[in-house]
Amino acid sequence: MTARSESELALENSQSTAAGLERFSLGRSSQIARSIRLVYGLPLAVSLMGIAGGMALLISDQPDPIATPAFSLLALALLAATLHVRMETAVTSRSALALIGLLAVSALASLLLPKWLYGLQLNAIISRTAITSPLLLVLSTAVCSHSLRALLGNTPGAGDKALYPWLILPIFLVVLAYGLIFFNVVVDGLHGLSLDLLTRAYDPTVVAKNVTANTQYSPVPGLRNQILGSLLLLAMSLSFAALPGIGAGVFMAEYPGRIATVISLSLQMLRAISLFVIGAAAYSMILGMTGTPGDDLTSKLVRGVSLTSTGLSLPERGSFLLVSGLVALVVAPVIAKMTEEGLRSVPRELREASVALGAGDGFGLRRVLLPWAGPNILTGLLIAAAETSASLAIIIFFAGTGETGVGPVNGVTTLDFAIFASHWGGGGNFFATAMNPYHMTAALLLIVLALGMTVASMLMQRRMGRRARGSLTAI
Amino acid sequence: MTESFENQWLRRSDAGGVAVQDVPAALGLRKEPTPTNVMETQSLQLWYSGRQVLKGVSVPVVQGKVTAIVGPSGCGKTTLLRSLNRLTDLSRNCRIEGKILLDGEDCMAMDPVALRRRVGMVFQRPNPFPMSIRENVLYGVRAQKRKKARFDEIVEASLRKAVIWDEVKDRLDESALNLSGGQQQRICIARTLAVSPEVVLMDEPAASLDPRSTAKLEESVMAMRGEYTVVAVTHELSQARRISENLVFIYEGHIVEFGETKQLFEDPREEATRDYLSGGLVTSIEEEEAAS
Repeated sequence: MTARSESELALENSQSTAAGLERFSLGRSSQIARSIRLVYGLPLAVSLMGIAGGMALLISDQPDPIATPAFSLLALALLAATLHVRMETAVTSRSALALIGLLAVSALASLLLPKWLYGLQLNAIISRTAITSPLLLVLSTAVCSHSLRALLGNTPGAGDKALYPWLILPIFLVVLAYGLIFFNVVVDGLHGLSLDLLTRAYDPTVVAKNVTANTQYSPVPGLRNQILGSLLLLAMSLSFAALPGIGAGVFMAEYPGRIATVISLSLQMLRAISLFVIGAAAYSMILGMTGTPGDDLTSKLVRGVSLTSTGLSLPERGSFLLVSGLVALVVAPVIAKMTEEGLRSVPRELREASVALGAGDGFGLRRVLLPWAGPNILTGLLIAAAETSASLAIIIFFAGTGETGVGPVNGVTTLDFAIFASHWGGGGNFFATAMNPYHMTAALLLIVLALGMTVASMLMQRRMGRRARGSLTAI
Repeated sequence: MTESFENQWLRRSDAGGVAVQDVPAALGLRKEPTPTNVMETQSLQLWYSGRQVLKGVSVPVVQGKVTAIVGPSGCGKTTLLRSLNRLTDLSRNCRIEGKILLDGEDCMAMDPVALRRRVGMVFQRPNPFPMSIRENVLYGVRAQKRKKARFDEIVEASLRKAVIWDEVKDRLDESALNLSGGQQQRICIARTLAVSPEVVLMDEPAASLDPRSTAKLEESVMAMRGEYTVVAVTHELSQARRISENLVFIYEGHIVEFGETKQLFEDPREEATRDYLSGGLVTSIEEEEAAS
């Protein structure tokens, strides 16, 4: 096609410059008439089916009966359209021919794939569909893009639109995966959801009674303390992290220099250390603590205590205070980074205006810079909050069943713990057996919590942004 | 400033154009009394990351007059203006030699925030804060921790001086960002006047405005004559002719000529000034660039 049109162009250019210019201006040499290009609807439809089939294959771990037929069908549809266009206009698309070749090879290859790749025979990950479905997705998208371009008339604008399938596919796959997981959690979680579960705390005595009587667990044990615990951990760790985080961010953005570099580097290092490692280190410290557990103040603050009904104080594995402090270590760098970015995005004009009016650093920061950076700081807090509520790893070390309540020096307990312990049996067998039916409900509650926070902060962010930045920038 | 802000304000607005600028002299604070030059630079040299922008500039700023700085693009006029209130401090790779004096005091030895409280600035592009009109005008007043009692008066007087009071008096609590560019720029002038600085610097204040807004802006600059000392950078010669009383012509970091605007336009001493003011220099520069 290219060679042909180039020779044509050369010929026309030699004949008359005006005609040559006209040909250049619209790129009409490759444009196909409307009635002819409608034939590309066929490969487009087949490619859409191919994408759907690829996704179905991706989800199922069955042997794939559709890969070979799908590849062949795609090749045939594209071949038909290409031949039709060739007959009408005597132009052949080389990329279409290459695509048809690829499809034919793939069809053959998927047919010849060894039978033992079927199902789960090799291992849990590699099955035949794990090879053919990504291939089917990619080639279907290529056919989809090609036919879309031809269908829209092969203009430069159509070329831009033909990129959309490539852009949409990954998003669609992610949404599909997320949707499947979410669907699973919602269905299983709603099953166990009840008002009792939300309002009642886990009571070991009731559970013990049921165990000795060998009866079903009734009344339903509750997740109240885990819900409240999640919220408390969130509030405490954010309030611990907010001030150092914002302060470090302001310093890094406003007073660049050697000290700021040191701060920035150390925050990055803190960020690189996994919460799990920090948790392990802190837990080993608890194990090495001397003195009678639960008696002295340090032990109470660090381990946390729980009081029995007879007033006996029992040591826990870790207090809310300790865990929120650890989480704050990881959360502060996020807040610092976002604060720094927000301050750096303040327009130079506003900064200069404030300085030129004789405002000191503090005043400018309070009245102009921090309000401007507000939405960014809020985003930092949101990301931090999401990390806190998902700080599953650290919970394994410290959390308890929360049977005696929630408070700064109580033993820490969160929804993460309920998901983990009730499913895998940590935190004592009683809790695990009693709460096992509800671990998906705990997961659902955690999702609702995170989602609620996201929506709330998005709304706040928009309001704050409009107030602090006005029409100067769209957020 | 030892005199209270209120007194100063009152005297200035009541005196009807007779500026009270000699407080430091009256109190014996001034080292070398220079009765008419409220500010001056003495062989000022300035480098941006090793490149010399100002090459020994000595300019007087005469009290109560509008001084315009003109010159071709890139000649250092904006840099000169920004060095007068040490906004050049904000860029880290800027080095200054020579002296800048405000009422005989060395500006480079002063606290920069204190200096900027005495030397205000209006920028090339209108840059109101994303706040209400009232808060914009009061920003500097609040920043300088002046007494609350006269806030309303200050707002009104400043907006009147910037010739925008009638346009915004009914919507002082609306965001300043809702105003047009020209109105925003006059808000910025009002904001600068609200803290009654000794000198007002203006960096091509009409550069981003349409002709109508420019006329309004010039009107407000004219209204400041006598009462305020103004230094304005402009690349528009007709504007310099209209608003200024003194004119500084800078070319490639040097002062070519300084004098009264009228005299400079009618009978310049230097050949280069004559060329530039009549538009000839522009062509000669273009020829030079074409040759190189």
